[in-house]
Amino acid sequence: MSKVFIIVQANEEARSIVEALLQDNPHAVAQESPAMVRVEAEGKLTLKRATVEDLTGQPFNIQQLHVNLISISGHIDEDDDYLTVEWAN
Amino acid sequence: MSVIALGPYKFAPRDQVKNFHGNILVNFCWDRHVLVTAPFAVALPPTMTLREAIMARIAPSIAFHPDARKIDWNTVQWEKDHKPWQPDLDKSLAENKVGHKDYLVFITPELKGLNNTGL
Amino acid sequence: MDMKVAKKKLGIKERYGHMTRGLGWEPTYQPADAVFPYDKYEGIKIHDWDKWVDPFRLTMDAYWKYQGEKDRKLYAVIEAFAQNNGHLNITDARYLSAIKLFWQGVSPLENYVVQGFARAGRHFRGEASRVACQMQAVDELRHYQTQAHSISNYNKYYNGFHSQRHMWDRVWYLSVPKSFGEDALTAGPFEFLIAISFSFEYVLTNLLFVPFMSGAAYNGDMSTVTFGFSAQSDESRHMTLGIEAIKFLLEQDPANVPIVQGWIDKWFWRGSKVLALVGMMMDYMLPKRVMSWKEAWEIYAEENGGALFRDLARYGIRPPKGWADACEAKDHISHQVWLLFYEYGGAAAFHTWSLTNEELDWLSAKYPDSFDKYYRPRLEFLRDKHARGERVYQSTLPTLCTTCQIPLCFTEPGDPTKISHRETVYEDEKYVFCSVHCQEIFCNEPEKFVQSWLPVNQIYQGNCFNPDVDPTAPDFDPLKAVLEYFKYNLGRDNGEFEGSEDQRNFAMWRGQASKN
Repeated sequence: MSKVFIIVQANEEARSIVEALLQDNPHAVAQESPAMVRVEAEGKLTLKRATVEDLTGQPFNIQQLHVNLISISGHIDEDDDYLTVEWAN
Repeated sequence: MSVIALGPYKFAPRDQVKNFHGNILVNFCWDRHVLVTAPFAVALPPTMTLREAIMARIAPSIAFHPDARKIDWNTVQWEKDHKPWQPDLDKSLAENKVGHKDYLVFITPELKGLNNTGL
Repeated sequence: MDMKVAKKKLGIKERYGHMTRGLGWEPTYQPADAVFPYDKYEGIKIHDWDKWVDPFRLTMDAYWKYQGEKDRKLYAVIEAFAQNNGHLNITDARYLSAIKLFWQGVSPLENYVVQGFARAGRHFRGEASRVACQMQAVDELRHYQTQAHSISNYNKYYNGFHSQRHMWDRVWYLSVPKSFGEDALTAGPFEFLIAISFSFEYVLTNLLFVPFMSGAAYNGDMSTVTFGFSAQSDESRHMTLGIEAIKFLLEQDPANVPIVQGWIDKWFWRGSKVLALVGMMMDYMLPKRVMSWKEAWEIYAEENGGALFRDLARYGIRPPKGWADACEAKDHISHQVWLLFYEYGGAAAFHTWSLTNEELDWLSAKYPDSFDKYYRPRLEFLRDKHARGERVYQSTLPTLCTTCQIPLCFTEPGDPTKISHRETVYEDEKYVFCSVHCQEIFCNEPEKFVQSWLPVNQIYQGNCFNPDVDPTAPDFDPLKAVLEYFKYNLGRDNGEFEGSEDQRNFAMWRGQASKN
């Protein structure tokens, strides 16, 4: 199976995104590099709006991800409540 | 294959010999001496002998390589068009049939490069 | 969260539908083929343009909102950087060579991509694809502008940042990205899309913007890391469109598959050659290194690109032809390109230098299969010569590849001491190449590449001197005349870092930063 990843900036806003990814995707691993965090996982990764909102106590729009996103791999499925990246193989 | 285009697509080559003011462009590569990072392209009059071309343009450019002073140009082996080639150093480039944009490789098998590893 | 008002706003998918569908119309004054003259001749068949979907479903309203937010963040950093002498917080002035090369050779490419997407955004028949291309054109313009604003701070203090537009059209090594960009721009809109969105953005730009920008952060360059990541957040959207574009083309008609495969073969190879410059920046120009070029290649090209091509196999797409050779080259290209620039350091508008033992040890550890045998001895030899006052500066011009325009500094796959070269005769003219893949690109479109503006050949044709120069004068120095034509400030922009004005000024200003 192939790996997918989401890389975000290492900052306060993106911290809740990383935490939500790790919480909702138990097979995911976070790797820190200077100024960035790379969350990678075999096959599939899902970011859930509700998890981020629970962590921060604030409303979160999935598209807010764009502000701190650095890179992403895999096919994307995005809706109001989630964003999934996945390889079909 | 050719360029897929909406209309006729034909242009003059930019590096035709007539653009070089009487010179031809000749490339020289010293085989297995990559301390000299890339082959040289030099513009030379076709009446110049190969030896003159080497002494004027190539020898000074490779002089920093420790093997350079050990080269016996009379026993150097050559390749042109990916095939062995035996020029007469004292004949002109034209007489040696060196053409515009030819790529000449000179091989010094007894000189092994830096650390004897082809560098 | 349970206090949320009942949904009266449209969801992402509905909004995207409204903002990208039904916006076009059937022209009646002119036939559609006259309005869109460029989207058929490449042979790509599109049956249903509405199948084009942006998976992020970004609409213009959301686009402006988030881009505005990104820019506000970025400009706050740029201002803070300018106000607080941020340039003195970088690890070393050597680091700036990487930023000079970025500014000279990468930023202008952003401008080319603006033009290409503006054109694609006009000429595709489907509205959703036009919207996506127009947004990308605006993105790329933003990248160029934010790079100009960020880097202008360095231009106030250091050499080599001036005259970018002038140099782009003239300087020998900048013809590498320039000819890459012009090849893409002069292709049809579908080839452009595969070249830039897919082959370059998806398969290769992670290598440029992720580890290199993380390296900028590691070296204290707050300004570059901020514009870099701000640009890369757009790039991740572009990459998504790249993969979507390719799926769209492949699903529309099976006849598209071989055409697209040919473009992938061409543009993967061309992109991998341009990125050799980035390999050198990462391995040699960053005083503190995050990861080696080889490691970055393994993660972002081999692992991620590998996943991509396994995924595309279901459409009958295979990995690009040059894949194995490009992967083999990961052990070599950064070193070969650095050595090239070191030896031709007199002719580059950035500095080169000798590495310390610690840096050589780092490279030995990162490149166990190649560095100690093939590169360390060369670097140490050149360092010793420099220490003896005999700094090597090559002044005889190198042979250039007709396709990628890089000097022939690369070696045969599997044979690191044999310079790789290929030759083709086309209509009685000889052409030289760095590799079998560049040769094949030429042979597929010879009429395009017979026009290559190869700087070395142009210099010999006498086309790279200022108009007032007299080449027949007894004291005529052709190399100096060429560098003046490039608008180099000789002795300040070019040559060895050790003893350079940049080195002296940085040390002096940094000293002043901690005392009066």
